[in-house]
Amino acid sequence: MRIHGCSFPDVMASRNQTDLEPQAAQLAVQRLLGFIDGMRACAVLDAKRAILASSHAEIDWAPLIEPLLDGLGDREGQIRAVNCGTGSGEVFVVSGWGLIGVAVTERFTLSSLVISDLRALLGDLARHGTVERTGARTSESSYVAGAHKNAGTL
Amino acid sequence: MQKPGRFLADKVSFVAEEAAAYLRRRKLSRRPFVRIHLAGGRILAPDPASPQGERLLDAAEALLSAAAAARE
Repeated sequence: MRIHGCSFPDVMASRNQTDLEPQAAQLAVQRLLGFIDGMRACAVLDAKRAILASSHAEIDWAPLIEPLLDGLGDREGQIRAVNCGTGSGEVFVVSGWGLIGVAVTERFTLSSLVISDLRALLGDLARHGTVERTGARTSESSYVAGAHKNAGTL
Repeated sequence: MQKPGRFLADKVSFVAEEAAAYLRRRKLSRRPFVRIHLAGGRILAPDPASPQGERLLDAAEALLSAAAAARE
């Protein structure tokens, strides 16, 4: 899908994800664990679904998230986030900037905030190679403001 | 003048209504759902009972179970 003449991969190709330091991805995971209450587990993967960092190394993330990102027919390339809720919790898989963020949480009323936090984190990781600038909620609001100002990046 | 026992009957019925409302809210908040956020801000909400919904919910349940096992 193209918005304002600018497709998602065009904008996101600005940084090679293999440049990412493992510590930066690990810091992103620590941030997620810290600023989302009810977070049970989370991970950051690259576009090839290799794990960059995760809160629980024993979880085999790639095959588990595969059905969530694949098998959605012709919409596969357009998917930004998948959010599923069951009686036991919620799962968020957010893709963007050549990265994939996964979060397993409690059931939330405002799940869109989790998606925003994940996207803000992935965006900072991809653009700056670090999440040191990312803060809870404040970065989310700046992300949203920035997104509205520059709709082409969305 | 209020009939004898009316006060107690009102109290009991109030508590029963509150309990029923709580159970309804709890059931709603635990209902399975699937949301797919697409580029451009469009959000799809496939029926959880559809084949696609079931497949996604099964995957989510597997991930939740793996996370629960890892935390133990």
